[in-house]
Amino acid sequence: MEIQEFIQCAERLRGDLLQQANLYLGNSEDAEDAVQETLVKLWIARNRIEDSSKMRNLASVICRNVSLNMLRDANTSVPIDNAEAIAIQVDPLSQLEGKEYQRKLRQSILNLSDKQRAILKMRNVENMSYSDIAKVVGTTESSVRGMISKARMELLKQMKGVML
Amino acid sequence: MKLEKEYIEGLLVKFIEGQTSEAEEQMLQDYFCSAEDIPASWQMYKDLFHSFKTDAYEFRDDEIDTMLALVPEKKTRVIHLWKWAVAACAVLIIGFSVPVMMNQDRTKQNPIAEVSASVETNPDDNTQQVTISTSELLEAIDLLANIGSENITITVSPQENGSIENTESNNGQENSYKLSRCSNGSPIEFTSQLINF
Repeated sequence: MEIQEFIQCAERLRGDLLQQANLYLGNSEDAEDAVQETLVKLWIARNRIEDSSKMRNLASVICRNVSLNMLRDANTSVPIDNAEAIAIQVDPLSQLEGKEYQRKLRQSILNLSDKQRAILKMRNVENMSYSDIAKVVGTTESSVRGMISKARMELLKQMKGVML
Repeated sequence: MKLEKEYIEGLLVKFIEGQTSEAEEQMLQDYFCSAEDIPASWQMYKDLFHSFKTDAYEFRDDEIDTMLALVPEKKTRVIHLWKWAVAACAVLIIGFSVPVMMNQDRTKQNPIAEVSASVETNPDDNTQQVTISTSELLEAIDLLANIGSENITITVSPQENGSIENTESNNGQENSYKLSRCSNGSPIEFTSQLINF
Protein backbone atom coordinates (compact mmCIF):
# COMPACT_ATOMS: atom_id res chain seq x y z
CA MET A 1 0.00 0.00 0.00
CA GLU A 2 1.40 3.36 -1.04
CA ILE A 3 1.81 6.18 1.44
CA GLN A 4 -0.97 8.42 0.11
CA GLU A 5 -3.52 5.62 0.17
CA PHE A 6 -2.35 4.66 3.64
CA ILE A 7 -2.71 8.23 4.91
CA GLN A 8 -6.24 8.50 3.54
CA CYS A 9 -7.32 5.21 5.11
CA ALA A 10 -5.62 6.08 8.39
CA GLU A 11 -7.53 9.37 8.55
CA ARG A 12 -10.81 7.53 8.13
CA LEU A 13 -9.92 4.94 10.79
CA ARG A 14 -8.65 7.43 13.34
CA GLY A 15 -11.98 8.23 15.04
CA ASP A 16 -12.90 4.60 15.58
CA LEU A 17 -9.43 3.74 16.84
CA LEU A 18 -9.51 6.61 19.35
CA GLN A 19 -12.85 5.40 20.60
CA GLN A 20 -11.57 1.84 20.91
CA ALA A 21 -8.39 2.88 22.75
CA ASN A 22 -10.40 5.13 25.03
CA LEU A 23 -12.55 2.17 26.06
CA TYR A 24 -9.45 0.35 27.28
CA LEU A 25 -7.44 3.24 28.66
CA GLY A 26 -10.17 5.53 29.91
CA ASN A 27 -8.56 8.83 28.99
CA SER A 28 -8.10 10.63 25.71
CA GLU A 29 -4.42 11.42 26.18
CA ASP A 30 -3.38 7.79 26.52
CA ALA A 31 -5.82 6.88 23.78
CA GLU A 32 -4.08 9.35 21.45
CA ASP A 33 -0.70 7.75 22.25
CA ALA A 34 -2.16 4.31 21.63
CA VAL A 35 -3.58 5.35 18.25
CA GLN A 36 -0.26 6.85 17.19
CA GLU A 37 1.55 3.67 18.10
CA THR A 38 -1.14 1.68 16.33
CA LEU A 39 -0.66 3.62 13.10
CA VAL A 40 3.13 3.36 13.32
CA LYS A 41 2.82 -0.41 13.66
CA LEU A 42 0.22 -0.56 10.93
CA TRP A 43 2.67 1.21 8.67
CA ILE A 44 5.36 -1.34 9.55
CA ALA A 45 2.89 -4.13 8.76
CA ARG A 46 1.59 -2.44 5.61
CA ASN A 47 2.71 -5.33 3.42
CA ARG A 48 0.09 -7.44 5.15
CA ILE A 49 -2.68 -5.03 4.18
CA GLU A 50 -4.51 -6.36 1.16
CA ASP A 51 -7.23 -3.73 0.94
CA SER A 52 -8.81 -0.99 3.00
CA SER A 53 -11.35 -3.31 4.64
CA LYS A 54 -8.52 -5.59 5.81
CA MET A 55 -6.74 -2.49 7.05
CA ARG A 56 -9.62 -1.69 9.38
CA ASN A 57 -9.45 -5.18 10.92
CA LEU A 58 -5.69 -5.11 11.32
CA ALA A 59 -5.80 -1.61 12.82
CA SER A 60 -8.39 -2.71 15.32
CA VAL A 61 -6.34 -5.73 16.41
CA ILE A 62 -3.16 -3.66 16.75
CA CYS A 63 -5.01 -0.95 18.66
CA ARG A 64 -6.39 -3.51 21.09
CA ASN A 65 -2.95 -5.04 21.64
CA VAL A 66 -1.29 -1.66 22.05
CA SER A 67 -3.94 -0.55 24.55
CA LEU A 68 -3.68 -3.75 26.60
CA ASN A 69 0.11 -3.53 26.60
CA MET A 70 -0.08 0.07 27.75
CA LEU A 71 -2.32 -0.96 30.63
CA ARG A 72 0.08 -3.74 31.50
CA ASP A 73 3.17 -1.54 31.32
CA ALA A 74 1.58 1.38 33.15
CA ASN A 75 3.29 0.50 36.41
CA THR A 76 6.60 -0.73 35.04
CA SER A 77 7.70 1.91 32.52
CA VAL A 78 10.91 3.75 33.27
CA PRO A 79 11.26 7.33 32.06
CA ILE A 80 14.16 7.98 29.75
CA ASP A 81 16.94 10.00 31.27
CA ASN A 82 17.39 12.57 28.52
CA ALA A 83 20.35 14.38 30.03
CA GLU A 84 22.26 11.15 30.37
CA ALA A 85 21.75 10.29 26.71
CA ILE A 86 22.96 13.66 25.47
CA ALA A 87 26.03 13.79 27.66
CA ILE A 88 27.57 10.71 26.13
CA GLN A 89 31.34 10.57 26.17
CA VAL A 90 32.82 7.53 24.60
CA ASP A 91 36.10 6.06 25.65
CA PRO A 92 38.09 5.90 22.40
CA LEU A 93 40.15 3.01 23.75
CA SER A 94 37.14 0.71 24.04
CA GLN A 95 36.91 -2.18 21.68
CA LEU A 96 35.32 -0.88 18.51
CA GLU A 97 35.21 -3.75 16.11
CA GLY A 98 34.45 -7.41 16.23
CA LYS A 99 31.39 -9.54 15.70
CA GLU A 100 30.38 -9.51 19.35
CA TYR A 101 30.42 -5.73 19.40
CA GLN A 102 28.35 -5.50 16.22
CA ARG A 103 25.87 -8.00 17.60
CA LYS A 104 25.49 -5.95 20.75
CA LEU A 105 24.94 -2.79 18.73
CA ARG A 106 22.16 -4.50 16.82
CA GLN A 107 20.76 -5.72 20.09
CA SER A 108 20.60 -2.16 21.40
CA ILE A 109 18.32 -1.34 18.44
CA LEU A 110 16.13 -4.33 19.27
CA ASN A 111 15.96 -3.14 22.87
CA LEU A 112 13.98 -0.10 21.74
CA SER A 113 10.23 -0.25 21.90
CA ASP A 114 8.56 -1.27 18.64
CA LYS A 115 7.28 2.25 18.25
CA GLN A 116 10.73 3.77 18.69
CA ARG A 117 12.41 1.35 16.34
CA ALA A 118 9.67 1.86 13.78
CA ILE A 119 9.78 5.61 13.86
CA LEU A 120 13.58 5.73 13.58
CA LYS A 121 13.28 3.35 10.64
CA MET A 122 10.71 5.57 8.98
CA ARG A 123 12.86 8.69 9.21
CA ASN A 124 16.44 7.51 8.76
CA VAL A 125 16.13 4.15 6.98
CA GLU A 126 13.09 4.65 4.75
CA ASN A 127 13.97 8.33 4.47
CA MET A 128 10.41 9.53 4.97
CA SER A 129 10.05 13.24 5.65
CA TYR A 130 8.93 14.44 9.06
CA SER A 131 5.74 15.76 7.51
CA ASP A 132 4.90 12.42 5.87
CA ILE A 133 5.51 10.60 9.14
CA ALA A 134 3.22 13.09 10.86
CA LYS A 135 0.49 12.35 8.32
CA VAL A 136 0.87 8.60 8.70
CA VAL A 137 0.70 8.86 12.48
CA GLY A 138 -2.00 11.50 12.35
CA THR A 139 -0.23 14.07 14.47
CA THR A 140 1.83 17.24 14.17
CA GLU A 141 5.37 17.41 12.82
CA SER A 142 6.64 18.77 16.14
CA SER A 143 5.08 15.84 17.95
CA VAL A 144 6.88 13.48 15.57
CA ARG A 145 10.14 15.33 16.20
CA GLY A 146 9.59 14.86 19.93
CA MET A 147 9.02 11.13 19.50
CA ILE A 148 12.06 10.74 17.27
CA SER A 149 14.24 12.70 19.68
CA LYS A 150 13.23 10.39 22.53
CA ALA A 151 13.94 7.35 20.37
CA ARG A 152 17.40 8.64 19.36
CA MET A 153 18.27 9.43 22.97
CA GLU A 154 17.15 6.00 24.08
CA LEU A 155 19.12 4.31 21.33
CA LEU A 156 22.31 6.26 22.12
CA LYS A 157 21.85 5.37 25.77
CA GLN A 158 21.57 1.71 24.82
CA MET A 159 24.63 1.94 22.57
CA LYS A 160 26.59 3.67 25.29
CA GLY A 161 25.85 0.71 27.53
CA VAL A 162 27.35 -1.57 24.90
CA MET A 163 30.47 0.52 24.44
CA LEU A 164 31.35 0.88 28.10
CA MET B 1 38.60 21.34 9.87
CA LYS B 2 37.97 22.79 13.34
CA LEU B 3 35.03 24.73 11.97
CA GLU B 4 33.61 21.67 10.30
CA LYS B 5 33.87 19.69 13.51
CA GLU B 6 32.06 22.38 15.47
CA TYR B 7 29.39 22.53 12.78
CA ILE B 8 28.85 18.79 12.86
CA GLU B 9 28.82 18.81 16.63
CA GLY B 10 26.06 21.41 16.50
CA LEU B 11 24.13 19.30 13.99
CA LEU B 12 24.50 16.24 16.23
CA VAL B 13 22.93 18.09 19.15
CA LYS B 14 20.07 19.23 16.91
CA PHE B 15 19.79 15.69 15.55
CA ILE B 16 19.40 14.17 19.01
CA GLU B 17 16.86 16.83 19.89
CA GLY B 18 14.93 16.03 16.72
CA GLN B 19 15.37 19.56 15.38
CA THR B 20 17.43 18.84 12.26
CA SER B 21 15.94 19.20 8.79
CA GLU B 22 15.86 16.25 6.44
CA ALA B 23 18.76 17.82 4.48
CA GLU B 24 20.85 18.28 7.62
CA GLU B 25 20.28 14.68 8.61
CA GLN B 26 21.37 13.62 5.14
CA MET B 27 24.51 15.69 5.61
CA LEU B 28 25.28 13.91 8.87
CA GLN B 29 24.53 10.57 7.24
CA ASP B 30 26.94 11.32 4.38
CA TYR B 31 29.63 12.59 6.74
CA PHE B 32 29.58 9.64 9.09
CA CYS B 33 29.40 7.08 6.31
CA SER B 34 32.14 8.52 4.10
CA ALA B 35 34.53 10.74 6.06
CA GLU B 36 37.78 9.13 7.01
CA ASP B 37 38.87 11.52 9.73
CA ILE B 38 36.03 10.94 12.15
CA PRO B 39 37.23 11.55 15.71
CA ALA B 40 37.30 8.42 17.83
CA SER B 41 35.06 10.12 20.38
CA TRP B 42 32.33 10.09 17.73
CA GLN B 43 32.53 6.36 17.21
CA MET B 44 29.07 5.90 18.60
CA TYR B 45 27.59 8.38 16.13
CA LYS B 46 29.44 6.65 13.35
CA ASP B 47 27.91 3.37 14.48
CA LEU B 48 24.52 5.03 14.69
CA PHE B 49 24.55 6.39 11.15
CA HIS B 50 26.03 3.19 9.79
CA SER B 51 23.22 1.27 11.43
CA PHE B 52 20.70 3.18 9.29
CA LYS B 53 22.28 1.54 6.25
CA THR B 54 21.72 -1.96 7.61
CA ASP B 55 18.65 -4.11 8.11
CA ALA B 56 18.96 -3.79 11.89
CA TYR B 57 15.68 -1.85 12.09
CA GLU B 58 13.68 -4.30 10.00
CA PHE B 59 10.83 -6.07 11.70
CA ARG B 60 10.97 -9.82 11.29
CA ASP B 61 7.90 -11.69 10.10
CA ASP B 62 7.30 -13.18 13.53
CA GLU B 63 7.44 -9.73 15.11
CA ILE B 64 4.76 -8.52 12.73
CA ASP B 65 2.77 -11.68 13.42
CA THR B 66 2.87 -10.77 17.09
CA MET B 67 1.61 -7.26 16.35
CA LEU B 68 -1.33 -8.70 14.44
CA ALA B 69 -2.21 -11.52 16.85
CA LEU B 70 -4.65 -10.92 19.66
CA VAL B 71 -2.85 -10.68 22.99
CA PRO B 72 -4.64 -12.16 26.01
CA GLU B 73 -6.78 -9.82 28.04
CA LYS B 74 -5.27 -8.06 31.03
CA LYS B 75 -5.23 -9.84 34.40
CA THR B 76 -7.76 -7.53 36.05
CA ARG B 77 -10.20 -8.30 33.28
CA VAL B 78 -9.73 -11.98 33.98
CA ILE B 79 -10.44 -11.29 37.64
CA HIS B 80 -13.56 -9.45 36.59
CA LEU B 81 -14.62 -12.49 34.60
CA TRP B 82 -13.96 -14.66 37.63
CA LYS B 83 -16.11 -12.41 39.76
CA TRP B 84 -18.89 -12.69 37.25
CA ALA B 85 -18.46 -16.44 37.06
CA VAL B 86 -18.62 -16.77 40.84
CA ALA B 87 -21.67 -14.53 40.98
CA ALA B 88 -23.36 -16.51 38.23
CA CYS B 89 -22.61 -19.78 40.03
CA ALA B 90 -24.04 -18.39 43.27
CA VAL B 91 -27.22 -17.34 41.52
CA LEU B 92 -27.51 -20.74 39.87
CA ILE B 93 -26.93 -22.60 43.13
CA ILE B 94 -29.49 -20.47 44.98
CA GLY B 95 -31.88 -20.70 42.08
CA PHE B 96 -31.74 -24.48 42.11
CA SER B 97 -31.44 -25.15 45.83
CA VAL B 98 -34.28 -22.93 47.09
CA PRO B 99 -37.00 -24.72 45.13
CA VAL B 100 -35.49 -28.06 46.11
CA MET B 101 -35.52 -27.09 49.79
CA MET B 102 -39.07 -25.80 49.50
CA ASN B 103 -40.09 -29.01 47.82
CA GLN B 104 -38.58 -30.99 50.66
CA ASP B 105 -40.61 -28.94 53.15
CA ARG B 106 -43.77 -29.48 51.16
CA THR B 107 -43.30 -33.18 50.72
CA LYS B 108 -42.91 -33.53 54.48
CA GLN B 109 -46.23 -31.81 55.13
CA ASN B 110 -48.42 -33.06 52.36
CA PRO B 111 -48.08 -34.80 49.06
CA ILE B 112 -49.87 -31.86 47.46
CA ALA B 113 -47.03 -29.41 47.50
CA GLU B 114 -48.88 -26.15 47.24
CA VAL B 115 -50.97 -26.71 50.30
CA SER B 116 -49.37 -25.98 53.64
CA ALA B 117 -51.98 -26.52 56.29
CA SER B 118 -52.90 -29.09 58.85
CA VAL B 119 -54.51 -32.27 57.60
CA GLU B 120 -57.51 -33.62 59.37
CA THR B 121 -59.14 -36.96 58.71
CA ASN B 122 -62.86 -36.96 58.66
CA PRO B 123 -63.99 -40.00 60.68
CA ASP B 124 -67.29 -40.22 58.76
CA ASP B 125 -66.07 -40.88 55.26
CA ASN B 126 -62.35 -41.23 55.99
CA THR B 127 -61.41 -38.29 53.74
CA GLN B 128 -58.61 -35.91 54.57
CA GLN B 129 -59.55 -32.28 55.00
CA VAL B 130 -57.13 -29.46 54.61
CA THR B 131 -58.12 -25.89 55.33
CA ILE B 132 -56.38 -23.47 53.01
CA SER B 133 -56.87 -19.95 51.80
CA THR B 134 -58.79 -19.24 48.64
CA SER B 135 -55.66 -18.29 46.76
CA GLU B 136 -54.00 -21.52 47.80
CA LEU B 137 -57.08 -23.38 46.77
CA LEU B 138 -56.96 -21.80 43.37
CA GLU B 139 -53.26 -22.64 43.11
CA ALA B 140 -54.03 -26.19 44.13
CA ILE B 141 -56.70 -26.42 41.48
CA ASP B 142 -54.24 -25.09 39.02
CA LEU B 143 -51.61 -27.61 40.11
CA LEU B 144 -53.98 -30.53 40.00
CA ALA B 145 -55.16 -29.44 36.61
CA ASN B 146 -51.57 -29.66 35.41
CA ILE B 147 -50.92 -33.11 36.80
CA GLY B 148 -51.07 -35.85 34.24
CA SER B 149 -54.68 -36.74 33.52
CA GLU B 150 -53.97 -40.48 33.79
CA ASN B 151 -53.64 -40.02 37.57
CA ILE B 152 -56.23 -37.40 38.41
CA THR B 153 -59.45 -36.17 36.96
CA ILE B 154 -60.84 -32.88 38.12
CA THR B 155 -64.32 -31.80 37.28
CA VAL B 156 -66.20 -28.78 38.49
CA SER B 157 -69.51 -30.47 39.07
CA PRO B 158 -69.80 -32.89 42.02
CA GLN B 159 -68.54 -36.28 40.92
CA GLU B 160 -66.89 -39.25 42.41
CA ASN B 161 -63.50 -38.36 41.16
CA GLY B 162 -63.25 -34.75 42.30
CA SER B 163 -65.24 -31.66 42.82
CA ILE B 164 -65.20 -27.99 43.74
CA GLU B 165 -68.00 -26.82 45.94
CA ASN B 166 -69.07 -23.45 47.10
CA THR B 167 -70.37 -23.86 50.63
CA GLU B 168 -72.37 -21.24 52.46
CA SER B 169 -72.41 -21.23 56.22
CA ASN B 170 -73.40 -18.96 59.10
CA ASN B 171 -76.67 -18.04 57.47
CA GLY B 172 -75.15 -17.24 54.14
CA GLN B 173 -72.75 -14.68 55.58
CA GLU B 174 -69.64 -16.78 55.03
CA ASN B 175 -68.49 -18.69 52.02
CA SER B 176 -65.87 -21.33 51.43
CA TYR B 177 -64.72 -23.39 48.48
CA LYS B 178 -64.06 -27.08 48.74
CA LEU B 179 -61.98 -29.10 46.32
CA SER B 180 -62.11 -32.87 46.39
CA ARG B 181 -60.15 -35.32 44.37
CA CYS B 182 -59.50 -39.02 44.44
CA SER B 183 -56.18 -40.42 43.44
CA ASN B 184 -55.19 -44.08 43.70
CA GLY B 185 -57.88 -44.67 46.26
CA SER B 186 -56.79 -41.98 48.74
CA PRO B 187 -59.38 -39.22 48.71
CA ILE B 188 -58.25 -35.75 49.64
CA GLU B 189 -60.34 -32.67 50.15
CA PHE B 190 -59.27 -29.07 50.24
CA THR B 191 -61.50 -26.53 51.87
CA SER B 192 -60.76 -22.85 51.64
CA GLN B 193 -60.90 -20.56 54.62
CA LEU B 194 -64.22 -18.98 55.22
CA ILE B 195 -64.75 -15.92 53.14
CA ASN B 196 -66.78 -13.16 54.70
CA PHE B 197 -69.12 -11.23 52.44
